[in-house]
Amino acid sequence: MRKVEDFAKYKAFFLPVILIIGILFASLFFLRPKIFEIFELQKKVTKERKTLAELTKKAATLEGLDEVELTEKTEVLLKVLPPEKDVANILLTFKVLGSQAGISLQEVQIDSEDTISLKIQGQMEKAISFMEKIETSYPLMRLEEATISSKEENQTQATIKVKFFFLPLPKTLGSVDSPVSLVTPQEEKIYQEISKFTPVLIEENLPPVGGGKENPFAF
Amino acid sequence: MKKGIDFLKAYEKPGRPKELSRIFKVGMLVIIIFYCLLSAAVLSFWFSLKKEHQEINRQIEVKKSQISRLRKKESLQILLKQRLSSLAKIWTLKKGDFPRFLSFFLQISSKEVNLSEIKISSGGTVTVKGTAANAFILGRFLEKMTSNEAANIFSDITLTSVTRQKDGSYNFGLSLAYEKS
Repeated sequence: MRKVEDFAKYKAFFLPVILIIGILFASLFFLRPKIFEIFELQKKVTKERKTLAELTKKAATLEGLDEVELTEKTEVLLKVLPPEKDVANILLTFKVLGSQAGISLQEVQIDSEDTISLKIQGQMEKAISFMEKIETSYPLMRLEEATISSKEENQTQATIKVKFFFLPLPKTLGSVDSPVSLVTPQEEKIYQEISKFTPVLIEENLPPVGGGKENPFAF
Repeated sequence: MKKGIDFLKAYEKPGRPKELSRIFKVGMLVIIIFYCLLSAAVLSFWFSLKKEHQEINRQIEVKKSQISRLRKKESLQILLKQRLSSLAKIWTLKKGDFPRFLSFFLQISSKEVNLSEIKISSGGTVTVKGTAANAFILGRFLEKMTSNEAANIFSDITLTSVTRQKDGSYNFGLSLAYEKS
């Protein structure tokens, strides 16, 4: 009898207690995951905003580049700094430069992977001109050492150690969202200097290659 | 029947459970309203973030496809940059101006002074060996070597050896240092 009385007394509290429990459950299984999701989303959105800004900048930068100018510049730079070591081309360059300067190329020796020694003979002025040409022609070369000795009247003999350069092509282009590196003013200045270099191996300087018969079976 | 006072039984104010239940009900209502508002705010914020996330992703895809169309330009730019940055490094290695040094020696040498050997190294040193017809000519040659023009080219000039020959001529050796350009 007493239990029934107690039940009647606390009956009014049952609904609020059930509601509180319901709210707690809803908070635990619905609101809490959503709040965590919001934090995650905020992190993602911040990161994506940054990515979008970078991509927008990259697209604008690429749009602003002149394809014709880029092609011309890369063509020059590939001649200045070839993608592979081409010793035959370098030797031919020395031969052409030697004949242009008017000196005789007496000996050529490959010292190491990127160094060649030359023995030349001729007038001092012409030897100087030859050295000037080496450093202002492409492919890019640098004089490492020079020993000049006088041989006869008005004739000098020089042993020159020349370092040549090559650079393999880049293997990867990078991901879409990697930024575009622009040419710095210092690099632009270097390009301006290099563009003044003279190409040595132009068509007319190359030795003629035989062949090309109309009928290969006839003498 | 004997009646007694039950001291342990508390006095119950009539109507107290009802008041409590009313407070509970009002409290619950407030909590529910607050909870609903909070849930609505959380949901709407989540929804707007989700929409923004989708929109940004869409824009990213658009930009990526735009960049893909410009792939040729990008590869050219990468190639250009790779070559130029390597050239910049080669440039910073600096060089000795060999033709300039040789032109200078050609200019100061004369019939009386014969330079038998000039050795130039990219490390920043030049050694010169030569013969002067007599002490006076050697002195004049050394004077030329200490002129302003020489000072512009070489930072340090040292006379390393002087030997008098039987015929009165002098063999000499010079060591010069230069600042790489």
